[in-house]
Amino acid sequence: MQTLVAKRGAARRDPAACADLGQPIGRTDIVRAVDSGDSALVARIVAGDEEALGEVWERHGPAVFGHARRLTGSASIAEDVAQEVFVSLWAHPERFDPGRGSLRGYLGVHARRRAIDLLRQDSRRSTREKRHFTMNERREQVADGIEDALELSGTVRGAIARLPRDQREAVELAYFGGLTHCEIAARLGIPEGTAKSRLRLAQAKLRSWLEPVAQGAS
Amino acid sequence: MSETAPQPGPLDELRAALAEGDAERPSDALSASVLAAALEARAPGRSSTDGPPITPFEAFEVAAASLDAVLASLSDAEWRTPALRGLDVQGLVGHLIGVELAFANALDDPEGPQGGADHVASTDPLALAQGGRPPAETRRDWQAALELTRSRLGGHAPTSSEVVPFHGIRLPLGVLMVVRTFELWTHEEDIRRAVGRPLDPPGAASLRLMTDVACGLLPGVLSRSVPVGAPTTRLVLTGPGGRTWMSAGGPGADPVATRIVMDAVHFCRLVANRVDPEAVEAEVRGDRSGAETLFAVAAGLALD
Repeated sequence: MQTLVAKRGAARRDPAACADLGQPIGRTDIVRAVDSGDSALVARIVAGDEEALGEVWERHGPAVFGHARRLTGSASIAEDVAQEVFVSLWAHPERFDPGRGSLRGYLGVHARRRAIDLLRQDSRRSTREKRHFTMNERREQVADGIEDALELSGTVRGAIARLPRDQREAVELAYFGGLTHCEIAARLGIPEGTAKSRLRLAQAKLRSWLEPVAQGAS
Repeated sequence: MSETAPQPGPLDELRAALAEGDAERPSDALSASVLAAALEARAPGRSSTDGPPITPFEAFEVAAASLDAVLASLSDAEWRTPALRGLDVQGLVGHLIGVELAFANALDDPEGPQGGADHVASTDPLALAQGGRPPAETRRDWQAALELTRSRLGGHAPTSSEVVPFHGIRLPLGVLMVVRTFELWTHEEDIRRAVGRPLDPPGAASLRLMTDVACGLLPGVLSRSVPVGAPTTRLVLTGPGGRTWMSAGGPGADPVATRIVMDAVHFCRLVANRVDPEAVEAEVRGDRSGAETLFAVAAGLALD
């Protein structure tokens, strides 16, 4: 055979190897994560390819699970959240609209909603967990206030631009490029732990900057 | 997730991006649990967007109506446009008249001579006889042949497993009707290409039947090209009518040696021999020779 033409939109990253990450991504003219690899994975899930679900889980499961754990303060609830989010993706993949956002953002929205639902249902949760949840829910509500009150793409861009260079690079690759922490580490030539810590530091700064803006706007 | 399935806004995208900083590798037990729960919620292999099914007879009628609508829209000059194998559009419709009459006769007399006749050669006289006739007459004769088929189908169940010999193949009638659907759609696309009209793939319900039949026929023909125990090939057909299919590797075969992802309509065009097996648009991982074999075998399914 002379040619097996790979579709441009079907190119995917290897979630395990975090290799072959391509050219650097432009930072100024993209307003959301662009990730044709995820769209191709979801098309395969629609077609009933369970291997594609495994690849999506490898790629986004750690962030969804970790995010749910931070949000709820409970590993067991985070496991429930992660399972429900990915089972729902498998059962109804056509509900994801790649034209309106990234798969990671879509999974994140549903993980956050499900985490809040499960915490509200969990009458056995500890006082500490209640405090943890209340604090985080308030942050999320404040964030929703930002979303309602501001032109977000400009606001987010401005906040990201204020970050120190090393943190800004990591956030830009994640936000504009749709890269996972593993891929960011490979792209920047740094350990995975360093990539995660830069994102965490950026996360704290962005919160501290965006919350007062949101409160002032509300 | 809710029925409305909210999509992420810019802040959700930022949250999700920053969540990479919280990433924790889930336990193997959780990974296994997620996959098991998912497969319990929805069986693998089928498209999640499969709508209500239609019968092979209904798919055939849809294809016939679609082709007739194209024929009704053609100018006299377009009827004379070269289309396939040296035939103009009118000659190609003459070929379809011949196929339809032979099919109707096979339904009436399964032991008759049409069961073994060559699909193309046996229709050549009718194809060539269309030259110089008014196109409306050719269209009318094709419609009359369709009516004859409908009348002969009247006593058969839409999914009949009764085997009908037709042009050298012996297939259950339900499967044969899908093959006939393939044929009408393929020749409609031949005509559309000839006169410069955009291609119009079948609906998801028809495509589902077509990919089912094509994938169902693959193991039989693959077994003639691939030795027992050959590595398994996994084929994922995306888009409307899509599905996931695996060849039976047999005892001792590798679990999966070749993985192919391609559009379901493109696959149907390959099966109809309207895509060069050496220029297939597909994502191929693993043993490429497995994909080359499958593409060649798929294109060989066409009657033309």
